[in-house]
Amino acid sequence: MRFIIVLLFLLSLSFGGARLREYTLENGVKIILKETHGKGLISGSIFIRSGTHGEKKRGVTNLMAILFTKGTKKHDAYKIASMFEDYGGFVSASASDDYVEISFSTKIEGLREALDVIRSMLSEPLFEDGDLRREKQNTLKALRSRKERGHELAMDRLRQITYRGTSYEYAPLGKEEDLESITREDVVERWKEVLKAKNTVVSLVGDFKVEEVLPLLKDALSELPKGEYAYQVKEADISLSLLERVKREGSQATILCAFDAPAFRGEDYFAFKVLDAVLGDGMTSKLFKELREKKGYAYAVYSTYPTRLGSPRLIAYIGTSPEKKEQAIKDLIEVVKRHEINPEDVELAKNKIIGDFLLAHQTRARQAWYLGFFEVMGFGWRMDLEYTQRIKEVDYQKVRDVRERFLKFHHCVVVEP
Amino acid sequence: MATLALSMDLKTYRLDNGATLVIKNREDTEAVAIHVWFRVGSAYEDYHQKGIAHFLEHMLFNGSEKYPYGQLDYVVESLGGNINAGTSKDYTFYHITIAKPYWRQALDVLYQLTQRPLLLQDMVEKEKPIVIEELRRGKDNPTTLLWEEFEKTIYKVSPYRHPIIGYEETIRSFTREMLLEFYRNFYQPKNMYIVVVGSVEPEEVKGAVLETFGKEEGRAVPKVQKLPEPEQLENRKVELQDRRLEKSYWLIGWRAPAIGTKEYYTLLVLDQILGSGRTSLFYREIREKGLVYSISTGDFGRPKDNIFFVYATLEKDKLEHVKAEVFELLKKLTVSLEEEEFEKAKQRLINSTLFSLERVETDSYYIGYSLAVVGLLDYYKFFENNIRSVRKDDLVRMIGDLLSKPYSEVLMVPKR
Repeated sequence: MRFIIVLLFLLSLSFGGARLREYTLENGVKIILKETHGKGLISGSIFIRSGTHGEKKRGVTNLMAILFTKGTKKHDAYKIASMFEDYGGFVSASASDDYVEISFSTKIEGLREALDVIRSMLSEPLFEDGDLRREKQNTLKALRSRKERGHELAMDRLRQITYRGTSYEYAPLGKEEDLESITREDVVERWKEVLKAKNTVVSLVGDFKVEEVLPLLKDALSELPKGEYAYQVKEADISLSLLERVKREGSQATILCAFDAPAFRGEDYFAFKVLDAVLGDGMTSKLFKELREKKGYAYAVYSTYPTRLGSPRLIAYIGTSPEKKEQAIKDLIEVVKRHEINPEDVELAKNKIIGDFLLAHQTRARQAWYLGFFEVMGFGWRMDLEYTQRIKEVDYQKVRDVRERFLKFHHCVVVEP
Repeated sequence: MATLALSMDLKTYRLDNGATLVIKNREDTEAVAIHVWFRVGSAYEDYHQKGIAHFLEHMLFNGSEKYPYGQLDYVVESLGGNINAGTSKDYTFYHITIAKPYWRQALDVLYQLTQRPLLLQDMVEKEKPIVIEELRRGKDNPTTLLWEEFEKTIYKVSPYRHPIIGYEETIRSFTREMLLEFYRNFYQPKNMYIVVVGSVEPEEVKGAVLETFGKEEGRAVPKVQKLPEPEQLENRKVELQDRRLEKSYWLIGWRAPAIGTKEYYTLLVLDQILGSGRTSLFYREIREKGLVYSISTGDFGRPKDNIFFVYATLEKDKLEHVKAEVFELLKKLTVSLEEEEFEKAKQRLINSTLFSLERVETDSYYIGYSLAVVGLLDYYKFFENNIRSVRKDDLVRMIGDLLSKPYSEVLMVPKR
């Protein structure tokens, strides 16, 4: 019997020190600040709760986000980039399924300028026609190019099956026919729709004093319009198993399967996170041991349980040679749904999650991301402090219980030569 | 100054058996990274061994004296750590990142893994289909084929022309004896660099290393003469077609200064100016003008026969225009680059290393790379100073040299 060390010590570790503060500006913008000690580095994340929910033309939110960095009334694209890159940092903007995210890094001496650029990006973006035309072309090509890779092609097909009728049916890049028709007016309309103070969460982590940066943040964010962009999250059920085959030339078959999973609010979430880690995270996971090590089907095999506002799924992947694919599909589903799990597996998976979570906090950028992510998704930023404890509290019985209640159906896509 | 200040905390030891140990004590983190590097990679293989360096890396995870098969990943993951390894053409390294209380266990795991492996015959057979799946997974991605073709086009003699992973035929032919021979030659103290970065007490780490790695016998490492690539005398161009593609991929490369040479720092500044970030020249003048979907620059960081390349995704009918623009911008740079822009680029490069060092694993990687590939810790220690010392004249000279040299191109286009 192998001995599992309980990672009590790990639970008390934290990265980069300590002082955490929360503020809500008058207009409703939520600010989370964390002081660290070091050589004057700062990273931030700005989350705008929206994502692709409620998009009239698919892809408009992502285009809006990209165009934030292409020019404002006050700064051109070069100036925007150089304000961050001159200090060794960066700025980037993109849309995900549930939020728009602007992330950046800079040094303390560049913060004032950086926040002025951020203010201008959010409040007075130009959305110039020339930039829109070019970025539309780039996005269209990026969308079509997803066929170049088996995994991306499979993921897009899987979205259309398992998230049918919800905003997740298409990736944030959008839909070809919609993208072509997106005009500047569409982008401006989306910007006015989603960029509301109450949807905005800003997290800043760095080697500063809260008192020094708070006034700068107030200046940068107080202009955001009051109010909230409210939308309904559509849900897609998974109550019938199915498998779809897609042809593509190549040397491997790519298999992706989505399984029903619990919603992220509530107790089941953490138990299911542990279940996912037992099944498909790392070299000790069931999928790795059974399908790679014992059967030799694959080099890469894993599962994930992405945190989304609606239509929760566990997604499992394996890439295998065409002659092994039929058996691999069967075995993958079998391992996920039925392979034996014991208490030791659960303890090991918990340690794995806790260790990964803490190691992921090494950079200020990731620390800012987690704080903002938990807040914008509705957990509240304090979840960043409680997460490891919540994982630790999961016991074997809870994992068995969620496994019994979920993972009943699957939607699989096989991209095969 | 910051990078220099960081390097002050370095402790370097040469063990009696010839192994090198570098410890960097960092108070600003709760994580520890332990790396074990070997100066061996696929460029050290002979013709029948293609892929053996990488295969051996896989095999070391299949059981050691103290940790039977399956036990090692179990120990690391149950301590919340990450373990992984990588094989390149010039080096192979094994590493664990873990919370600081567990550095001793991690060190022991890496010692057993690299110095006490079992390399059992049945495990060799178990591993073959896995590595072949890894190879096929690579080939399933058109860009893998593009990069392989690029190196095949540039290198006609050098072992760099072969892919790291090898070929299905060679992988199938590997035996325990072949692996043991390769292992005994290269996985020994005189060819080994141990790096520990994190909140650790150097004396304690040194003690633990002496108790493990320090006990191994130091034998002479066989000298491998990597065949040098002869000078390229003509431009080379290869065009590939692929049915899976939606756009074209273009790579152009020139022979470039080796990592660690004085000229290499000039190359890094050139790379920063041309292709690093959204402030870079190619991004502004080529990508933002709508000529390409993406464009970047880089080099292979090799200790000899290094290559500098420009990589773009685009429509085939724009290629001539893009290529002309790349050469034109390079030419213009020799006359119009302002001192201020030049200094700014150097500063951007120096500042960006500060962010990359936030993670202990990146910090260890740079140290390991300096020791095992460059052959000098000075590359890591004096990086900032060396970048500062690059002068505009050096850069202008380098561009002139680049423009006068033959180049190699690979274009991969959609097959209709």
